[in-house]
Amino acid sequence: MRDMKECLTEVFLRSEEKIKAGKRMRTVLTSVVLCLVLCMVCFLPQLLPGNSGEPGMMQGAGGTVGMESLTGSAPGITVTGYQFSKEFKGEADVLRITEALASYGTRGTLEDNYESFDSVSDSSNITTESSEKRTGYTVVITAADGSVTEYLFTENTLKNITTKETVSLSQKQTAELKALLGIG
Amino acid sequence: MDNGASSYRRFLEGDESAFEALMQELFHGLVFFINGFVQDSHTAEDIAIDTFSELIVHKNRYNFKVSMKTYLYMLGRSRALDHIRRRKRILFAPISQVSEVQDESAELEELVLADERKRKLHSALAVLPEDMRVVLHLIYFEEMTYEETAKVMKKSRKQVDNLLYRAKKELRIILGKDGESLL
Repeated sequence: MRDMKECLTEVFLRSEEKIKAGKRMRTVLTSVVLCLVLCMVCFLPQLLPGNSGEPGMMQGAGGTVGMESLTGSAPGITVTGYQFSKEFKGEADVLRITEALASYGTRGTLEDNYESFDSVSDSSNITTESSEKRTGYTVVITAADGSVTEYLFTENTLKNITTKETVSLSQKQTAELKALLGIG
Repeated sequence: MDNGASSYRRFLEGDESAFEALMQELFHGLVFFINGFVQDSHTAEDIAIDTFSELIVHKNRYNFKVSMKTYLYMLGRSRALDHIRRRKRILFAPISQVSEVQDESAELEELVLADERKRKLHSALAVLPEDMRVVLHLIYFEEMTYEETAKVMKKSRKQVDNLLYRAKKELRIILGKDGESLL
């Protein structure tokens, strides 16, 4: 049997050891948890579905959504006019309008009416740009990559403000575009 | 007498000498109690030291709602049972060492049980099953209440009541005529 002094010393010694062991265990646990969290932060975005895995790219789960978060712009079309404003966000709508606008500018049948923006603005039957803006409609197309193309659509002309090109539209085309843009 | 709670409170307030007072008061009793489980005074002493060290490592675990003695005996009992579970997997000491251990157990018994009558009674407990032995020890030798005994043994008061009744009955049979005077 040990005497009381010896036992007391042993008690304090053991408690000290236990406290040290506890601290060591806490440190190890903290390090392991920290490593796990860091690994998750670094590798989880790359493991998510729909991610291209490019280094340095922090994308979301969906491709389009990821692009949105990168560029800060969603593909869409905004039509504004005198006391009129409309927005197209649906993929199908955007595609239809974009294709229609592109076809008016490239189709052979319209080539005769194809003039430069500057020459058209000088001609007598077309009013100044400010008055056009009041009577016409501005169509702003925002692409998925963030690039913006702006058109000015009046009664029978379509101006690409970005490329400064103007196309005259037939009555049928005007009606078609109006229907597409939801004007009138 | 608050069974060491005030000493422990003083220790928590920074008075290290209070811990010595606490050990003076409860250490040998705890070793004796644990020895009832492990049947080895050295191991019992080791477990008791470990139990006391828990009071220093986890200072906030004791809530002062039960007596310090009850709390220590609860810790001691669970540690002793853990030790028994572990011991089943390891080899026993050679027979030659056992007599030495028994001698020390007797020394410990003399230290804790000064009364000859109590010593006689305690040696009769050895043949009883563990639960009965513990309940008699806590109530007759440690003078704990039924509630405190129930806490240490992790049983309900009713179970302790029943166990004590059966233990006394068994003990009377073992002790024969002497039993009536001892109990």
